Amino acid sequence: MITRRFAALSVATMTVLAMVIVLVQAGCGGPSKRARTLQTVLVSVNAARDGFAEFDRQQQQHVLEAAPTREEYLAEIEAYKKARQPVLEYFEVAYRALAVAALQHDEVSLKRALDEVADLIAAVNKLTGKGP
Amino acid sequence: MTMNKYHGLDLIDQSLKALEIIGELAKAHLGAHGPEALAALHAIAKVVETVEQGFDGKATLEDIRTKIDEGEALLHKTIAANDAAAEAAADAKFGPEK
Repeated sequence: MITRRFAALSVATMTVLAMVIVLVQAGCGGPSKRARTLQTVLVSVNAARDGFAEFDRQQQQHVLEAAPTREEYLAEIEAYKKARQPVLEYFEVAYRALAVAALQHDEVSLKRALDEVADLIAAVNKLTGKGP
Repeated sequence: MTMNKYHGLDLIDQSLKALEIIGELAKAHLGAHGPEALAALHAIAKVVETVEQGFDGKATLEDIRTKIDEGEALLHKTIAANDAAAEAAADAKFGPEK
């Protein structure tokens, strides 16, 4: 059952990892490469977002199905949303770091965006029990 | 906006659609193993290849910033929709909250 709920997310995560490999190969030289890199990272973050959204939907459904009373449901859903919140914040930080990198022309902002995406992946994996 | 830039944005849209298809594939074959998992990985590899080939400086940074904003907005919209759907389902199961 757990595998079923996480399958969509794991595909998104694999996509992110595959694209990060592409990024490493692409490097970050001239402006065209920068745009291409940012575009690729954005696609990967959006893929992770879609996978996470599906996980979130299924997780909320699972909590509801498992709860025998409204009180227990509210307690469980509140606990889940508390655990979910850092992941949402990581998504926001990753999107903002990408936006900053799209405004700048330095390598520091680009590397920071990549670091934020890596942190985002770690946070998603932590929530879903797929990582350390 | 040049033809080339349109071409780049088209490719991103195609990539996003391909990712949606992959997501649907994963949902349809939850817990996929063997050939199904390989098919999903192959589809992902094709998407990566498409993205890699598609962006040769044709999309501007302004275009990308717009898509970043749209991406973040969709995150919040989708999560809010999930929360609302769960609340509605809870009301259906337990009755309206007093």
